[in-house]
Amino acid sequence: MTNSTPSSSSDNSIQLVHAYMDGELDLTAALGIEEKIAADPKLAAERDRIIALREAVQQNLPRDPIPPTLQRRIENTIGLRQETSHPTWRTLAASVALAVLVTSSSTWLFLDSNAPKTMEGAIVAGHIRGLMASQPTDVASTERHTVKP
Amino acid sequence: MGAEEDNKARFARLITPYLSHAYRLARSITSSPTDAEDVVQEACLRAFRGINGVADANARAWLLTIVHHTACTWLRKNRPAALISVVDVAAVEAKQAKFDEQDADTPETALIAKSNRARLEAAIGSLSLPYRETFTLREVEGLNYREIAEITGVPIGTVMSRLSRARDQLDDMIERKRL
Repeated sequence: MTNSTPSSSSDNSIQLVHAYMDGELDLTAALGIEEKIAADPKLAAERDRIIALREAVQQNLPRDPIPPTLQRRIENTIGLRQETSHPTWRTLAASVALAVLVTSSSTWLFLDSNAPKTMEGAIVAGHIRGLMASQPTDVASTERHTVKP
Repeated sequence: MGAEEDNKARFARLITPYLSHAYRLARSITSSPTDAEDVVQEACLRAFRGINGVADANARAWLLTIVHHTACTWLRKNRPAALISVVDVAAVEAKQAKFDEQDADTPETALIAKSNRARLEAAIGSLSLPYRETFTLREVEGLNYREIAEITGVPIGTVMSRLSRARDQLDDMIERKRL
């Protein structure tokens, strides 16, 4: 440590004013510097200059966001864009059209595959239909008769 | 694949919210929006490579530290003249005199608080790099002394003196315009 001169002491107080204005002092130190500011016009002027400069920065120097093009470039480079990209209306329309096409095609194929295409198929289908009836053969008859025990 | 996906999600969660902070710091150091874009892109790549090593609570300071190092490296390589030492008072004064000449014909406008953006940016831009960076981190980004010391790699006492001198010089420049 060097010998403390009035000038270095004053410099130290000025730096403490800055630290005070930046909220860096603990309560005891803050109270101490407040007393010094109240007693010393030079320190009070320093405090006022800090306030004025801070206001000038806040009013005239907006916190610009990152340019969107740069953000996109970074996200593309890192590989984030695919995960966060949103579908466009064209993509949505294409998806709907594809879904309709696939559904209708599969329905048609399903129905078509169930239809008998050959004579053998027709015979088998008739046979199955016959087995589904209550009688193995259907007898055409219009006569009514009563079965007596 | 899984680990890579985790890194991407981690980058999106921890780093993406602070990209604007990174850009403003890079612009402050390089004094150029175009150069700042190159610096931020390079810094983000470095951040992505080391994303596993960052604690959640420390992401902003961590990213800004990377931006600081990347920007200094970039300047050393591309514009070494921009890296004026703090002790090079003559060079700093020359830059400030240039700032004074820039719009010497401008009509005097009232108070500091009325300073327009261009003048303020020019004044900040004429500070030497350590002062400019420290001032930006404190007054624009709102970081505390400990965080600034961590990012710029200097003791807290140095942060205090840089901040005090940066404010003095800015105040003098703006005051000279006013007189």
